[in-house]
Amino acid sequence: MPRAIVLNTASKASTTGGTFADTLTANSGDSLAIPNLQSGQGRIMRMWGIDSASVAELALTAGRVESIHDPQFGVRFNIPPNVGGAAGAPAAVPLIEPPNYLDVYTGDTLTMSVTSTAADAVVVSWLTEYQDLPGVQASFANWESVKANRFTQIGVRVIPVASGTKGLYGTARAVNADDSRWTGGRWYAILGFTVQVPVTTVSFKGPMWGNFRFGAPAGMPFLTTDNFFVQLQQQYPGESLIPVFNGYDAGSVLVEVADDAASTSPKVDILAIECRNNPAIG
Amino acid sequence: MDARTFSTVTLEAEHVPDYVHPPLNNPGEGAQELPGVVNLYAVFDGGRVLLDTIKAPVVFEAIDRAQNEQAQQQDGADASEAGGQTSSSTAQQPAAQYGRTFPQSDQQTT
Repeated sequence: MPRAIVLNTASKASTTGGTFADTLTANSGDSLAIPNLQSGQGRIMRMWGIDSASVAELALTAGRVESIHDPQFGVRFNIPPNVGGAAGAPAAVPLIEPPNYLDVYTGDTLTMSVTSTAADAVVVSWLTEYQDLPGVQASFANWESVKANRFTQIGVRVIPVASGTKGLYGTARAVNADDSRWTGGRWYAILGFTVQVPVTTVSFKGPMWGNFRFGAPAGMPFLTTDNFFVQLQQQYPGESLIPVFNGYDAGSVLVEVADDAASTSPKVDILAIECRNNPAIG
Repeated sequence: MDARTFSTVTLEAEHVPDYVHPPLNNPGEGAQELPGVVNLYAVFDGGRVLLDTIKAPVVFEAIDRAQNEQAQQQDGADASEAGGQTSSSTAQQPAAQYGRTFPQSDQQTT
């Protein structure tokens, strides 16, 4: 039963504006389509979104009636522009938070329509858990396993920059590009991270996670990102949601950021536990 | 303690450009200049207190938009004065902002 946690992002850099007049498109490498699942079981565990300058409303629809009530407006979410500060300051607005979730099914495609003001940027990201995604055996641990294998703790700087086009991911940056203290042969469990500048989405990607993204928002109102993945795991006690990689693979663990402003540089400090053994199987 | 009064209270803004150094394993890549942030201060009798930090492109885009609207209004006024003849717009395109670099000389306090 290969399991996967996948982050996807959809965006539009400059909306035309009007009542549900714009449809978001998936960022490069991401998808609004639900892949073929062996068990047909998947769920969106978290979702967050932002409008760069004004209030927006998102209508999330899907084709399956088991997933979303109807295909007209489906699930509607408000997105206020200045949560906790001026427009352009917050990271994103929570849209789906545990313990709530949204079921998704094989072959379905999500549609995200937005009501917004012309020339705004809208960005929505979501984490989906697939219980059985062929070809993937993603390396995730639970907190008990990480604690049992705990050796030391480390914070590592990496400096990804968002794209010059609002909403899109910028150039990927390896976790050893700015700070190379990862030790080959050691296992690292990523608890979370901190940032200097709010950013809508921080994405991690590597072969140990099936080359799928996972990640989190960072900044107001998501201020406890230092243990974001631990908290997520604790909200789903039976699940392993803390990403793990080996220090030998640091060069292939890539961090990317997407934001509602162009060229945002949040300066990510990753917080990780160095483990004696692989906590993902320990 | 008696309540203090302030003879002058103003707002100040400071653009703080940013850069990213090249990756450790590829120093030849060169540093990348970034727009950075605009710090907004309340100034009480000369003493600055940071009110907010706004991503610089958000501020620049707002300025471009205002200049664009101003130019369009000017064009409209010129056209009216010319007896209904249309004139070409000289408005700046906001999208052009994102290709520009932000040298240190952009840093200024207003």
